[in-house]
Amino acid sequence: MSENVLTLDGVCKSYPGFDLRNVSLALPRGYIMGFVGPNGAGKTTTIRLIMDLARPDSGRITLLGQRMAANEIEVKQRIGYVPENHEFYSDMTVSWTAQFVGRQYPTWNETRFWELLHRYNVDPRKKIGALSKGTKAKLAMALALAHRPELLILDEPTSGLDPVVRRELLSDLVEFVADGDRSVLFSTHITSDLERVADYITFIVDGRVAASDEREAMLERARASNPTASIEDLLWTYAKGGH
Amino acid sequence: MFHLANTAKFDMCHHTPPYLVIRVMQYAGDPLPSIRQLASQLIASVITTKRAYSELEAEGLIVTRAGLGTFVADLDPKTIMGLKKEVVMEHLEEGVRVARQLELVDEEINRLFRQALDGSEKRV
Repeated sequence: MSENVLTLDGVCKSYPGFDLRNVSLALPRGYIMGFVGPNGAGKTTTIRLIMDLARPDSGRITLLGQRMAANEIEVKQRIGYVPENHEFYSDMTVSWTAQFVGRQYPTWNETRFWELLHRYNVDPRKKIGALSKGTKAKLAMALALAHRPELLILDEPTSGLDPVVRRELLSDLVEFVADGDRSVLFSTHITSDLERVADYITFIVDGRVAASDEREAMLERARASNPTASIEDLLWTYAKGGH
Repeated sequence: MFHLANTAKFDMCHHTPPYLVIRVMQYAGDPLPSIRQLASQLIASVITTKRAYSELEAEGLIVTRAGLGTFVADLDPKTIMGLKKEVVMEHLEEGVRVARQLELVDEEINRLFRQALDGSEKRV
């Protein structure tokens, strides 16, 4: 039943001064995985490897049952990717951007996009450069959701957002996976994001996966020794090198 | 009505989620939303919600009928009163725990409890 939409198997990548070592994780279809770690732990590097924006030195990445390299365009069309820094043209308007992005996806749903835009209260006539950080994040989400991807990959989607927008975004993620066919991987260093919505959590510390499992199962184990253990406590323990 | 505003604090793994209990108490026999629908309504994870349902089912508060969905069990008034007390007691115990930690004497805790009772809006 639980087919994985994303698996990483022993993925390694070396950069001068930074090593990603033996990263393995598996995200089953229909669920949300939080990818959490301190700043500089390797979250963005891992996501860039998943999106084929960099190549691993060794290890294997499977997306929607296939290797990205084998079928790049098709795989990318079935994925919604929101990088940490949204790369839009700042001189262009929101609606121009939507047309530009929409053309790349055969499953693009114009009606859905306008619904989301309306709900997020984003003015389509505004230029990208005039949008606040929160509004830009909402636009990026609307763009990613409007082509109904099977897998949504978000790099720090909540960082710098106010609590109201953050809650809205988390709510949209849960709604997104509600039909059981769609999955989300999102990285964050804000553990409270995960307390609510993450089904699975992968902790990454210093380029290595410290733990990857169902959130409830991890918390249950931690609570055997500390009855009030939270995700933040777990992250703290892993970051300090304890297990 | 159950209170969505309180759901942020729910730890469904450790305490039976009060909103569900309250719902169970008020709407005996009613159909419950699917796990994924409820998770979406509450902004909670699917697995957490699934666990909450299993717990409630194990306690006999809800029943799943194959192909039809999940329903609130038909409970007798005595069981319902017991559940209400259980939920309230959990909160009271938490208050007492904090008070003891702050080294308040029982007399003082009692006085605070009365004060809280008097201060809150009375219901009939």
